[in-house]
Amino acid sequence: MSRSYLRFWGVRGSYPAPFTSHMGVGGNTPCVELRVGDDVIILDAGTGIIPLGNALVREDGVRSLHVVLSHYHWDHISGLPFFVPAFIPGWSIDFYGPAESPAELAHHISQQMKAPYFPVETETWLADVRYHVSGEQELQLGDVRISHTTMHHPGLTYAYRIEVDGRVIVYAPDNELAFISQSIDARREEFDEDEQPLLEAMKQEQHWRGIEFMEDADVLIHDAQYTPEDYRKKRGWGHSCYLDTVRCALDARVKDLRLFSHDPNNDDVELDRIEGSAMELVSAHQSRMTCRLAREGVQIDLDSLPRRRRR
Amino acid sequence: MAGRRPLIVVIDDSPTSISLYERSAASLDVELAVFDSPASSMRHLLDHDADLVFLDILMRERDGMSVLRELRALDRHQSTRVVIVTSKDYFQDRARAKELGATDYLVKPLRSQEIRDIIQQATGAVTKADG
Repeated sequence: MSRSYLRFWGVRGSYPAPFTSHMGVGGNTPCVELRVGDDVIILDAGTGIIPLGNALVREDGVRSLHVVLSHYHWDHISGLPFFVPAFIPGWSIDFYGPAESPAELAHHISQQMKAPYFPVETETWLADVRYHVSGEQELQLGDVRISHTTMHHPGLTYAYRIEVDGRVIVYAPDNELAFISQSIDARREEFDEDEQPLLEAMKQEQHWRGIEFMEDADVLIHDAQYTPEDYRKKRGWGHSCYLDTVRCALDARVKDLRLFSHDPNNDDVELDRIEGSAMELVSAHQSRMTCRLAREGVQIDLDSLPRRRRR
Repeated sequence: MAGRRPLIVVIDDSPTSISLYERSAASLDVELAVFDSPASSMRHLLDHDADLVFLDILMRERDGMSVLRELRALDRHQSTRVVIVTSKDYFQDRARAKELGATDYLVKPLRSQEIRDIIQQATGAVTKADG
Protein backbone atom coordinates (compact mmCIF):
# COMPACT_ATOMS: atom_id res chain seq x y z
CA MET A 1 0.00 0.00 0.00
CA SER A 2 1.35 3.42 -0.91
CA ARG A 3 2.24 5.98 1.70
CA SER A 4 -0.08 8.70 0.44
CA TYR A 5 -3.38 7.94 -1.22
CA LEU A 6 -7.01 8.89 -1.72
CA ARG A 7 -9.63 6.18 -1.38
CA PHE A 8 -13.33 6.46 -2.17
CA TRP A 9 -15.61 4.95 0.49
CA GLY A 10 -18.83 6.68 -0.58
CA VAL A 11 -19.61 8.33 -3.93
CA ARG A 12 -23.42 8.73 -4.03
CA GLY A 13 -25.24 12.00 -3.56
CA SER A 14 -28.52 12.56 -1.71
CA TYR A 15 -29.19 9.10 -0.22
CA PRO A 16 -27.66 5.61 -0.14
CA ALA A 17 -28.31 3.31 -3.08
CA PRO A 18 -27.72 -0.25 -1.80
CA PHE A 19 -29.15 -1.88 -4.93
CA THR A 20 -27.56 -4.79 -6.80
CA SER A 21 -27.87 -2.74 -10.00
CA HIS A 22 -25.67 -0.02 -8.42
CA MET A 23 -22.90 -2.03 -6.77
CA GLY A 24 -20.38 -1.65 -9.60
CA VAL A 25 -20.04 2.03 -8.72
CA GLY A 26 -21.14 1.81 -5.10
CA GLY A 27 -24.10 2.83 -2.97
CA ASN A 28 -22.68 4.72 -0.01
CA THR A 29 -22.96 8.50 0.41
CA PRO A 30 -19.89 10.80 0.42
CA CYS A 31 -16.76 9.77 2.24
CA VAL A 32 -13.19 10.00 0.93
CA GLU A 33 -10.13 8.90 2.87
CA LEU A 34 -6.92 10.86 2.46
CA ARG A 35 -3.95 9.03 3.94
CA VAL A 36 -0.67 10.90 4.19
CA GLY A 37 1.86 8.91 6.12
CA ASP A 38 0.36 8.36 9.56
CA ASP A 39 -2.23 11.11 9.14
CA VAL A 40 -5.79 10.04 8.35
CA ILE A 41 -8.02 12.78 6.98
CA ILE A 42 -11.61 11.87 6.20
CA LEU A 43 -13.56 14.08 3.80
CA ASP A 44 -17.24 13.96 4.76
CA ALA A 45 -19.03 11.44 6.89
CA GLY A 46 -21.75 9.93 4.71
CA THR A 47 -22.53 6.25 5.00
CA GLY A 48 -19.14 5.47 3.43
CA ILE A 49 -17.54 6.35 6.76
CA ILE A 50 -19.13 3.24 8.30
CA PRO A 51 -17.00 0.67 6.42
CA LEU A 52 -14.03 3.02 6.70
CA GLY A 53 -14.46 3.11 10.50
CA ASN A 54 -14.69 -0.67 10.60
CA ALA A 55 -11.47 -0.92 8.59
CA LEU A 56 -9.67 1.60 10.78
CA VAL A 57 -10.38 -0.27 14.03
CA ARG A 58 -8.73 -3.36 12.52
CA GLU A 59 -5.52 -1.39 11.85
CA ASP A 60 -2.67 -1.26 14.32
CA GLY A 61 -1.33 2.18 15.13
CA VAL A 62 -4.10 4.46 13.92
CA ARG A 63 -5.96 6.08 16.81
CA SER A 64 -6.18 9.70 15.66
CA LEU A 65 -8.48 10.99 12.90
CA HIS A 66 -9.39 14.29 11.28
CA VAL A 67 -12.91 14.50 9.84
CA VAL A 68 -13.39 17.47 7.49
CA LEU A 69 -17.03 18.18 6.62
CA SER A 70 -18.26 20.11 3.58
CA HIS A 71 -21.67 20.80 5.17
CA TYR A 72 -24.35 19.10 7.26
CA HIS A 73 -26.91 17.76 4.82
CA TRP A 74 -27.79 14.22 5.87
CA ASP A 75 -25.93 12.44 3.11
CA HIS A 76 -22.69 14.00 4.38
CA ILE A 77 -23.04 13.15 8.08
CA SER A 78 -25.39 10.16 8.24
CA GLY A 79 -22.60 7.63 8.76
CA LEU A 80 -21.52 9.17 12.07
CA PRO A 81 -24.07 7.37 14.29
CA PHE A 82 -22.45 4.10 13.15
CA PHE A 83 -18.83 5.27 13.08
CA VAL A 84 -17.23 2.77 15.44
CA PRO A 85 -14.01 4.69 16.35
CA ALA A 86 -16.15 7.40 17.96
CA PHE A 87 -17.47 4.86 20.47
CA ILE A 88 -14.06 3.51 21.55
CA PRO A 89 -12.02 5.06 24.37
CA GLY A 90 -8.48 5.97 23.39
CA TRP A 91 -9.41 7.25 19.95
CA SER A 92 -9.03 10.94 19.11
CA ILE A 93 -11.29 12.59 16.53
CA ASP A 94 -11.09 16.20 15.39
CA PHE A 95 -14.04 17.52 13.38
CA TYR A 96 -13.77 20.53 11.06
CA GLY A 97 -16.59 22.22 9.17
CA PRO A 98 -18.36 25.44 8.27
CA ALA A 99 -19.87 27.11 11.35
CA GLU A 100 -19.86 30.30 13.40
CA SER A 101 -18.35 28.49 16.38
CA PRO A 102 -17.17 25.03 17.49
CA ALA A 103 -20.35 24.75 19.58
CA GLU A 104 -22.49 25.33 16.47
CA LEU A 105 -20.56 22.63 14.60
CA ALA A 106 -21.07 20.21 17.50
CA HIS A 107 -24.76 21.09 17.51
CA HIS A 108 -25.13 20.40 13.78
CA ILE A 109 -23.51 16.98 14.15
CA SER A 110 -25.35 15.98 17.31
CA GLN A 111 -28.88 16.82 16.16
CA GLN A 112 -29.21 13.66 14.07
CA MET A 113 -28.43 11.56 17.14
CA LYS A 114 -31.42 12.55 19.28
CA ALA A 115 -34.47 10.62 20.44
CA PRO A 116 -36.76 9.61 18.87
CA TYR A 117 -34.58 9.48 15.73
CA PHE A 118 -31.65 7.59 17.27
CA PRO A 119 -31.25 5.67 20.53
CA VAL A 120 -27.96 7.17 21.74
CA GLU A 121 -26.57 10.68 21.61
CA THR A 122 -23.08 11.98 20.82
CA GLU A 123 -22.59 12.20 24.59
CA THR A 124 -22.12 8.42 24.48
CA TRP A 125 -19.08 8.78 22.24
CA LEU A 126 -16.08 7.59 24.24
CA ALA A 127 -13.41 8.91 21.90
CA ASP A 128 -11.76 12.23 22.65
CA VAL A 129 -13.79 14.41 20.27
CA ARG A 130 -12.97 18.02 19.44
CA TYR A 131 -14.68 20.50 17.11
CA HIS A 132 -13.01 23.19 15.01
CA VAL A 133 -14.43 25.78 12.63
CA SER A 134 -13.04 25.69 9.09
CA GLY A 135 -12.70 29.44 9.33
CA GLU A 136 -10.71 32.18 7.68
CA GLN A 137 -7.40 30.51 8.44
CA GLU A 138 -6.03 27.60 6.47
CA LEU A 139 -5.96 24.29 8.28
CA GLN A 140 -2.58 22.67 8.73
CA LEU A 141 -2.96 19.00 9.60
CA GLY A 142 0.48 17.43 9.73
CA ASP A 143 1.97 17.89 6.26
CA VAL A 144 -1.41 18.68 4.75
CA ARG A 145 -2.59 22.24 4.14
CA ILE A 146 -6.32 22.81 3.59
CA SER A 147 -8.15 25.94 2.49
CA HIS A 148 -11.85 26.29 1.74
CA THR A 149 -14.19 28.07 -0.68
CA THR A 150 -17.93 28.57 -0.41
CA MET A 151 -19.93 26.53 -2.92
CA HIS A 152 -23.17 27.14 -4.82
CA HIS A 153 -25.38 24.79 -2.82
CA PRO A 154 -28.17 25.29 -0.28
CA GLY A 155 -26.80 26.59 3.03
CA LEU A 156 -23.17 27.25 3.87
CA THR A 157 -21.23 24.58 1.95
CA TYR A 158 -17.49 24.38 1.49
CA ALA A 159 -15.16 22.90 -1.09
CA TYR A 160 -11.67 22.12 0.15
CA ARG A 161 -8.40 22.66 -1.68
CA ILE A 162 -5.83 20.34 -0.17
CA GLU A 163 -2.08 20.58 -0.71
CA VAL A 164 -0.08 17.46 0.02
CA ASP A 165 3.63 17.45 -0.66
CA GLY A 166 3.38 19.56 -3.79
CA ARG A 167 0.18 17.97 -5.09
CA VAL A 168 -3.24 19.61 -5.09
CA ILE A 169 -6.50 17.77 -4.44
CA VAL A 170 -9.80 19.63 -4.62
CA TYR A 171 -12.88 18.15 -2.97
CA ALA A 172 -16.17 19.76 -4.04
CA PRO A 173 -18.91 17.17 -3.48
CA ASP A 174 -21.93 19.45 -3.85
CA ASN A 175 -21.80 22.45 -6.16
CA GLU A 176 -24.12 23.84 -8.84
CA LEU A 177 -21.73 25.25 -11.42
CA ALA A 178 -24.07 26.64 -14.06
CA PHE A 179 -26.78 28.36 -12.04
CA ILE A 180 -25.81 31.99 -12.53
CA SER A 181 -24.98 31.68 -16.23
CA GLN A 182 -28.33 30.00 -16.84
CA SER A 183 -30.11 32.68 -14.79
CA ILE A 184 -28.52 35.33 -16.98
CA ASP A 185 -29.46 33.53 -20.20
CA ALA A 186 -33.03 32.96 -19.00
CA ARG A 187 -33.55 36.64 -18.22
CA ARG A 188 -31.45 38.21 -20.95
CA GLU A 189 -34.45 39.59 -22.88
CA GLU A 190 -35.65 41.52 -19.83
CA PHE A 191 -32.54 43.68 -19.94
CA ASP A 192 -32.06 46.82 -22.01
CA GLU A 193 -29.66 46.77 -24.92
CA ASP A 194 -27.17 48.96 -23.08
CA GLU A 195 -27.21 46.52 -20.13
CA GLN A 196 -26.26 43.53 -22.30
CA PRO A 197 -22.46 44.06 -22.26
CA LEU A 198 -22.46 44.21 -18.46
CA LEU A 199 -24.62 41.10 -18.34
CA GLU A 200 -22.17 39.22 -20.57
CA ALA A 201 -19.26 40.46 -18.45
CA MET A 202 -21.06 39.19 -15.35
CA LYS A 203 -21.56 35.79 -16.95
CA GLN A 204 -17.87 35.51 -17.81
CA GLU A 205 -16.82 36.77 -14.39
CA GLN A 206 -19.04 34.27 -12.62
CA HIS A 207 -17.79 31.40 -14.79
CA TRP A 208 -14.12 32.08 -14.07
CA ARG A 209 -14.76 32.87 -10.42
CA GLY A 210 -16.76 29.67 -10.14
CA ILE A 211 -13.80 27.57 -11.22
CA GLU A 212 -10.86 29.37 -9.65
CA PHE A 213 -10.89 27.09 -6.61
CA MET A 214 -10.21 24.08 -8.85
CA GLU A 215 -7.50 25.63 -11.03
CA ASP A 216 -4.59 23.33 -11.84
CA ALA A 217 -5.79 20.62 -9.45
CA ASP A 218 -3.94 17.32 -9.76
CA VAL A 219 -7.13 15.57 -8.64
CA LEU A 220 -10.57 17.19 -8.66
CA ILE A 221 -13.44 15.35 -6.97
CA HIS A 222 -16.55 17.23 -8.07
CA ASP A 223 -20.32 16.99 -8.06
CA ALA A 224 -21.63 15.59 -11.36
CA GLN A 225 -25.03 14.36 -10.24
CA TYR A 226 -27.22 15.20 -13.21
CA THR A 227 -27.55 14.43 -16.88
CA PRO A 228 -28.57 17.40 -19.08
CA GLU A 229 -32.16 16.06 -19.02
CA ASP A 230 -32.10 15.85 -15.20
CA TYR A 231 -30.66 19.33 -14.90
CA ARG A 232 -33.45 20.85 -16.95
CA LYS A 233 -35.88 19.54 -14.30
CA LYS A 234 -33.67 20.08 -11.27
CA ARG A 235 -31.96 23.39 -11.91
CA GLY A 236 -31.72 25.17 -8.58
CA TRP A 237 -31.36 21.97 -6.53
CA GLY A 238 -27.68 22.64 -5.85
CA HIS A 239 -25.99 20.04 -8.07
CA SER A 240 -24.16 20.07 -11.39
CA CYS A 241 -24.74 18.45 -14.73
CA TYR A 242 -21.74 16.25 -15.50
CA LEU A 243 -21.13 18.07 -18.80
CA ASP A 244 -20.76 21.39 -16.95
CA THR A 245 -18.37 19.71 -14.52
CA VAL A 246 -16.20 18.39 -17.36
CA ARG A 247 -16.20 21.74 -19.20
CA CYS A 248 -15.23 23.64 -16.05
CA ALA A 249 -12.49 21.13 -15.20
CA LEU A 250 -11.09 21.54 -18.72
CA ASP A 251 -11.11 25.34 -18.39
CA ALA A 252 -9.42 25.02 -14.99
CA ARG A 253 -6.65 22.79 -16.43
CA VAL A 254 -7.43 19.95 -14.02
CA LYS A 255 -5.30 16.84 -14.51
CA ASP A 256 -7.56 14.13 -13.10
CA LEU A 257 -11.32 14.61 -12.70
CA ARG A 258 -13.39 12.17 -10.66
CA LEU A 259 -17.12 12.64 -11.23
CA PHE A 260 -18.79 12.43 -7.81
CA SER A 261 -22.14 12.57 -5.95
CA HIS A 262 -23.81 10.20 -8.39
CA ASP A 263 -27.57 10.34 -8.58
CA PRO A 264 -28.95 7.32 -6.63
CA ASN A 265 -31.48 6.91 -9.46
CA ASN A 266 -28.67 6.05 -11.87
CA ASP A 267 -27.58 2.41 -12.00
CA ASP A 268 -24.22 1.08 -13.19
CA VAL A 269 -25.35 0.99 -16.83
CA GLU A 270 -26.41 4.63 -16.82
CA LEU A 271 -23.28 5.74 -14.94
CA ASP A 272 -21.06 3.88 -17.42
CA ARG A 273 -22.86 5.76 -20.20
CA ILE A 274 -22.24 9.06 -18.37
CA GLU A 275 -18.57 8.20 -17.95
CA GLY A 276 -18.26 7.41 -21.66
CA SER A 277 -19.99 10.63 -22.64
CA ALA A 278 -17.74 12.64 -20.31
CA MET A 279 -14.62 11.01 -21.76
CA GLU A 280 -15.83 11.79 -25.29
CA LEU A 281 -16.16 15.45 -24.34
CA VAL A 282 -12.61 15.44 -23.00
CA SER A 283 -11.36 13.84 -26.24
CA ALA A 284 -13.28 16.35 -28.33
CA HIS A 285 -11.31 19.09 -26.56
CA GLN A 286 -8.07 17.24 -27.34
CA SER A 287 -7.28 17.33 -23.64
CA ARG A 288 -5.09 14.87 -21.76
CA MET A 289 -7.20 15.24 -18.60
CA THR A 290 -8.11 11.93 -17.00
CA CYS A 291 -11.88 11.74 -16.48
CA ARG A 292 -13.48 8.87 -14.58
CA LEU A 293 -16.41 8.14 -12.32
CA ALA A 294 -15.50 8.08 -8.64
CA ARG A 295 -16.11 4.46 -7.66
CA GLU A 296 -16.22 2.93 -4.20
CA GLY A 297 -13.00 1.12 -3.34
CA VAL A 298 -10.87 2.90 -5.94
CA GLN A 299 -7.62 4.24 -4.60
CA ILE A 300 -5.49 6.99 -6.15
CA ASP A 301 -1.81 6.72 -5.29
CA LEU A 302 -0.67 10.29 -4.60
CA ASP A 303 3.02 9.38 -4.51
CA SER A 304 2.81 8.47 -8.20
CA LEU A 305 1.56 11.93 -9.21
CA PRO A 306 4.21 14.43 -10.36
CA ARG A 307 5.23 16.96 -7.73
CA ARG A 308 4.92 20.64 -8.48
CA ARG A 309 5.84 23.91 -6.91
CA ARG A 310 3.41 25.18 -4.30
CA ARG A 311 0.98 27.91 -5.37
CA MET B 1 -33.96 67.17 -0.84
CA ALA B 2 -33.27 68.68 2.56
CA GLY B 3 -30.84 67.08 5.04
CA ARG B 4 -28.33 64.37 4.29
CA ARG B 5 -28.57 62.19 1.26
CA PRO B 6 -29.59 58.56 1.87
CA LEU B 7 -26.57 56.31 2.37
CA ILE B 8 -26.68 53.11 0.35
CA VAL B 9 -24.07 50.49 1.25
CA VAL B 10 -23.13 47.72 -1.19
CA ILE B 11 -21.20 44.68 0.06
CA ASP B 12 -20.33 42.49 -2.92
CA ASP B 13 -16.98 41.25 -4.22
CA SER B 14 -18.13 40.96 -7.83
CA PRO B 15 -16.70 43.83 -9.94
CA THR B 16 -19.52 43.55 -12.49
CA SER B 17 -22.17 43.66 -9.76
CA ILE B 18 -20.51 46.73 -8.27
CA SER B 19 -20.53 48.37 -11.72
CA LEU B 20 -24.23 47.61 -11.95
CA TYR B 21 -24.97 49.24 -8.57
CA GLU B 22 -22.88 52.30 -9.48
CA ARG B 23 -24.57 52.64 -12.83
CA SER B 24 -28.04 52.18 -11.32
CA ALA B 25 -27.56 54.70 -8.54
CA ALA B 26 -25.81 57.31 -10.67
CA SER B 27 -29.04 59.13 -11.49
CA LEU B 28 -30.27 59.15 -7.87
CA ASP B 29 -29.47 61.71 -5.21
CA VAL B 30 -27.90 59.19 -2.85
CA GLU B 31 -24.50 58.49 -1.37
CA LEU B 32 -23.22 55.10 -2.46
CA ALA B 33 -20.57 53.34 -0.36
CA VAL B 34 -19.23 50.25 -2.09
CA PHE B 35 -17.21 47.52 -0.40
CA ASP B 36 -15.74 44.46 -2.06
CA SER B 37 -14.54 43.27 1.33
CA PRO B 38 -16.94 42.28 4.13
CA ALA B 39 -14.27 43.18 6.71
CA SER B 40 -13.94 46.73 5.35
CA SER B 41 -17.70 47.13 5.21
CA MET B 42 -18.05 46.07 8.84
CA ARG B 43 -15.41 48.59 9.92
CA HIS B 44 -17.42 51.31 8.13
CA LEU B 45 -20.78 50.19 9.46
CA LEU B 46 -19.55 50.09 13.04
CA ASP B 47 -19.82 53.89 13.19
CA HIS B 48 -22.10 54.78 10.28
CA ASP B 49 -25.84 54.48 9.91
CA ALA B 50 -27.08 53.20 6.55
CA ASP B 51 -30.46 53.67 4.91
CA LEU B 52 -30.13 50.53 2.83
CA VAL B 53 -27.58 47.72 2.53
CA PHE B 54 -27.26 45.46 -0.51
CA LEU B 55 -25.43 42.31 0.62
CA ASP B 56 -24.23 39.31 -1.37
CA ILE B 57 -23.90 36.06 0.57
CA LEU B 58 -21.50 34.24 -1.76
CA MET B 59 -18.21 36.05 -1.32
CA ARG B 60 -14.61 34.81 -1.28
CA GLU B 61 -13.59 36.46 1.97
CA ARG B 62 -16.57 35.64 4.11
CA ASP B 63 -20.08 34.21 4.00
CA GLY B 64 -22.58 37.07 3.78
CA MET B 65 -24.97 35.43 6.26
CA SER B 66 -22.38 35.85 8.99
CA VAL B 67 -22.04 39.52 7.99
CA LEU B 68 -25.79 39.92 8.40
CA ARG B 69 -25.70 38.21 11.77
CA GLU B 70 -22.88 40.47 12.97
CA LEU B 71 -24.69 43.52 11.65
CA ARG B 72 -27.90 42.67 13.48
CA ALA B 73 -25.94 42.29 16.72
CA LEU B 74 -25.05 45.98 16.55
CA ASP B 75 -27.58 48.34 18.17
CA ARG B 76 -27.07 50.77 15.29
CA HIS B 77 -28.15 48.23 12.68
CA GLN B 78 -30.89 46.23 14.34
CA SER B 79 -33.46 47.67 11.97
CA THR B 80 -31.30 48.71 9.01
CA ARG B 81 -32.83 47.54 5.74
CA VAL B 82 -30.63 44.76 4.38
CA VAL B 83 -31.47 43.27 0.99
CA ILE B 84 -29.68 40.06 0.08
CA VAL B 85 -28.77 40.03 -3.63
CA THR B 86 -27.09 36.81 -4.64
CA SER B 87 -26.79 34.15 -7.33
CA LYS B 88 -28.00 31.53 -4.82
CA ASP B 89 -31.70 30.74 -5.05
CA TYR B 90 -32.33 28.02 -2.51
CA PHE B 91 -35.04 27.70 0.13
CA GLN B 92 -32.50 26.99 2.86
CA ASP B 93 -30.70 30.27 2.22
CA ARG B 94 -33.91 32.27 1.94
CA ALA B 95 -35.09 30.82 5.25
CA ARG B 96 -31.77 31.58 6.94
CA ALA B 97 -31.80 35.16 5.62
CA LYS B 98 -35.31 35.67 6.98
CA GLU B 99 -34.32 34.19 10.33
CA LEU B 100 -31.39 36.62 10.52
CA GLY B 101 -33.62 39.60 9.73
CA ALA B 102 -33.00 40.29 6.04
CA THR B 103 -35.50 42.76 4.59
CA ASP B 104 -35.66 40.96 1.26
CA TYR B 105 -33.88 38.25 -0.75
CA LEU B 106 -33.36 38.77 -4.47
CA VAL B 107 -31.60 36.66 -7.07
CA LYS B 108 -29.03 38.02 -9.54
CA PRO B 109 -29.04 39.38 -12.13
CA LEU B 110 -31.04 42.52 -11.25
CA ARG B 111 -31.90 45.17 -13.83
CA SER B 112 -30.76 48.74 -13.17
CA GLN B 113 -34.36 49.84 -12.89
CA GLU B 114 -35.05 47.15 -10.26
CA ILE B 115 -32.15 48.46 -8.18
CA ARG B 116 -33.36 52.06 -8.52
CA ASP B 117 -36.89 51.04 -7.52
CA ILE B 118 -35.61 49.27 -4.40
CA ILE B 119 -33.53 52.30 -3.41
CA GLN B 120 -36.34 54.74 -3.98
CA GLN B 121 -38.94 52.64 -2.17
CA ALA B 122 -36.62 52.09 0.80
CA THR B 123 -35.26 55.60 1.16
CA GLY B 124 -37.53 57.96 -0.74
CA ALA B 125 -34.50 59.05 -2.77
CA VAL B 126 -35.21 61.38 -5.67
CA THR B 127 -33.45 61.60 -9.00
CA LYS B 128 -30.73 64.19 -9.30
CA ALA B 129 -32.76 66.13 -11.85
CA ASP B 130 -35.74 66.28 -9.44
CA GLY B 131 -33.57 67.14 -6.45
